[in-house]
Amino acid sequence: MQLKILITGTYNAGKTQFIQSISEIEPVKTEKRIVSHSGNEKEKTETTVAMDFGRITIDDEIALHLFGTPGQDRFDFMWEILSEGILGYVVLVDSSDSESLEQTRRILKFFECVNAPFVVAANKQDVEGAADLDTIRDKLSLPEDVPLIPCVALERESVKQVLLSLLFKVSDLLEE
Amino acid sequence: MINRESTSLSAFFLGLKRDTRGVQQVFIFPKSQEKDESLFHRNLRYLILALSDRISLQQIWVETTHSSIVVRVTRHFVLGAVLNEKANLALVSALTGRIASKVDSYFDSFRRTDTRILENRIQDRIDETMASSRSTGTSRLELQVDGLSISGTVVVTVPSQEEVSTMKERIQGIVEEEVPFFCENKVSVDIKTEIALFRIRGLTRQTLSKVIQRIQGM
Ligand SMILES: Nc1nc2c(ncn2[C@@H]2O[C@H](COP(=O)(O)OP(=O)(O)O)[C@@H](O)[C@H]2O)c(=O)[nH]1
Ligand SMILES: [Mg+2]
Repeated sequence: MQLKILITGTYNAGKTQFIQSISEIEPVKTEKRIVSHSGNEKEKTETTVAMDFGRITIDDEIALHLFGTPGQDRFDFMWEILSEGILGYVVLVDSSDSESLEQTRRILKFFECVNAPFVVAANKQDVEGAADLDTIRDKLSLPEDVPLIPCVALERESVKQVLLSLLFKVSDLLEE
Repeated sequence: MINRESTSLSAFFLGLKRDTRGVQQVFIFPKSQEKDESLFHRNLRYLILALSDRISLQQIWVETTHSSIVVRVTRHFVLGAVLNEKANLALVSALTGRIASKVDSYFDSFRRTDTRILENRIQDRIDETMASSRSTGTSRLELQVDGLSISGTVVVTVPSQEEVSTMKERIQGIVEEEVPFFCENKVSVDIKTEIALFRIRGLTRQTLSKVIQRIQGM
């Protein structure tokens, strides 16, 4: 059984880092080739879509997969595909970048219809001048019942805590 | 009482609108003046007011070259239909007559009835529908009655995205039949899909606690 958790957030929020810090494997970089309309070999343009993927083996039968959403608006349709059948999702916020907060609101809105459990992780809490939790909750207009967890994606222990808080939330829902 | 009979009267009215040949439009509005009434309503009301001075009025029939309008006047309402040449006048006249003969008592009972009763009836029918479609969803509804306007929301949760549009149609149909046809129906129907979690097959608490333990031990 493969369980899936989606790691989303704005560009530079720390998604790749987050997955890397806990995954057993190096995040995979998937590449996509785009051929120009003329079909001319020489004009072939290439674009790289980095898709973060991580895995945690639970036992012989169960694996937990972590997927990062590609951070551009034009991949919104990919997000939808990636959200299919997820256990839940983590919204990473770059606490050191106030612009990121504004864009995060759009991401939160987008995922509303996925209707899956989620937590918000205030990443880069180690950076000087990073916004504190109250400020972030306020700026994102996060309701009290949405967990907001401080995070430093560079540290595995911190990533663990974020994932665990999501898993506990899932567990509560299963119990209901 | 708002009962099966009144529901069937509503269904009757909806049928007049949907299934009767040559009927282009049906209308019903209170005989007393409304706040934002349309030009059509106002003119009809004036006409009836002017005429009923002289005669006791129950039916008006306006005929033009290619269409006609059948108007019924009751104690509380003006109702009727706009028809084209394909319509069977005798039939429409009989149908509107039947609605006209019952609408006032339906209205009186409606005014005496608690909104709760209406909510419960809609709830029952939604439950029935969900049971028959073997949907495991949940629903919640809340209505407010303001004069002759009923507003509120019905929220229904279905297990999958595929069921959203059919369920929406069904629930809207139920609401349309249950909200008295002389009321303005401002009830919105919101269909949500169930939390993605419950669509993961084979997900148990046991599986989840294994995942939690593994991560705690990392
Ligand atoms: N100081 C600090 N830097 C971080 C943290 N998380 C990520 N970064 C850095 O922020 C930059 C963007 O991270 P990345 O994972 O590539 O972001 P992505 O665009 O969301 O995938 C990289 O240089 C990371 O090393 C953190 O918690 N603290
Ligand atoms: Mg990245």
